[in-house]
Amino acid sequence: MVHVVGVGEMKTSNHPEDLLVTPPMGASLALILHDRAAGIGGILHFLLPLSEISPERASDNPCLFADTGFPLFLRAALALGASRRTSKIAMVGGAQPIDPSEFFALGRRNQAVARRITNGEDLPIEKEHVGGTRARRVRLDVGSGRTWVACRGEEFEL
Amino acid sequence: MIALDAVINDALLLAPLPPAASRLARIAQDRDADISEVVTVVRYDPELPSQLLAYANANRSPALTPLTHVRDAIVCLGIPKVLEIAVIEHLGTPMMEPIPAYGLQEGELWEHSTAAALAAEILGQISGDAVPPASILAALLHDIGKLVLAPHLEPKATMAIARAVDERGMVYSQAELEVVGFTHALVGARIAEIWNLDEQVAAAIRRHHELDTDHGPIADAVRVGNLVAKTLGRGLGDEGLNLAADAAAYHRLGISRQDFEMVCAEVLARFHEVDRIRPHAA
Repeated sequence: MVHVVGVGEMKTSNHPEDLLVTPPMGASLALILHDRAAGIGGILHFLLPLSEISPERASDNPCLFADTGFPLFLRAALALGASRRTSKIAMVGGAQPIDPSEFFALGRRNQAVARRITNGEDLPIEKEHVGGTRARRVRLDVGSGRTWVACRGEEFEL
Repeated sequence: MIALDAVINDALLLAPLPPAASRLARIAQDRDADISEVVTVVRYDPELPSQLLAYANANRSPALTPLTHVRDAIVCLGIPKVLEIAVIEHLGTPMMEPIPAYGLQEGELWEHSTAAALAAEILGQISGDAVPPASILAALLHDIGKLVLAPHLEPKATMAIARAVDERGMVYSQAELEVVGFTHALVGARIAEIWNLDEQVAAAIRRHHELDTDHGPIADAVRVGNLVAKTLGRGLGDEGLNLAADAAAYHRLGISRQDFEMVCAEVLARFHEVDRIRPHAA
């Protein structure tokens, strides 16, 4: 079954036939977890790095932010049977406009906070396709853990 | 190069704005517009009263009594929102069409435009008088030129734009200008002029990719709305986020980086409102 993981959403699954996909991503970022041994996969698709700008909104929708979304995402994966030891993390997205002033460094800040949070959980990011200005989509095959990135008409395996 | 006149001739073939939308556009320019004038205009449109009531009630708490009078719906929505709904009623279906020349799938131009308009509306709520109400209409129509220009773009033109971006690092709109001779922004502004919309709206559409110059608060609000929509992944197309961002526009509007992020979050949270009036592709 195909599950679309929109911005500010997460999905974890232990059904090998499931495909998790994102819509086109701008500055938002997808953190992809897969545990081959346990047959579990998931995507957290967050928009903003830190919930400090709006704790109320984080309370309503923790997956909008990296810092409130990732703990929830990890808990959901572990609850399904994933293991920290065998789980792999990848990250895709975080595009940003051309901005020499760095005023809009949202894509880059999303990447930096994602690295910090995953490192803090001892789950370093092993693969990534991030930055630049192009839109991306992600597709995760829960059964195999194979992950594809679609970027301007081309799709390749991460 | 493509002949601008040929493209503008096609713009003339776009159905003109219906009388209600044209009159609402003129009324909406006035911050102190009389709601009775809007009610009169809306009542003579065959579809608009029921759409406004449906939209207003859909966004109303279920605990409240549903609105049954169109005046109440107009008061509830506000004049800029009424105008936006009137324009979407007219343009929604063509805006739902895929635009392969710009890499936009079915519905993506509509999503991008309505997200930008919603961002302009929210900016107005944050910045108050700094963002004129006409910004919502300008944001809604800022990419309308793509609709008319796209059929003139042969594959070799879109490939030349892609090459200029990929190989020479050009900003997408500059590559479009180099290859085509003008941009979708100019075509969009001409359409606004043909429809007799406020000249500031037309100017904002024309200037939405021109940076480093103050073209007024409507143009600034359109730039912010455009970037918010792209940040959220709405209508990225081949351009993606390959647009120059203009921090000066934010400073002029009094918007901080935190405000920008909150506008993005608010548009995402409220997009279901505009999704209720999503038309079907033809």
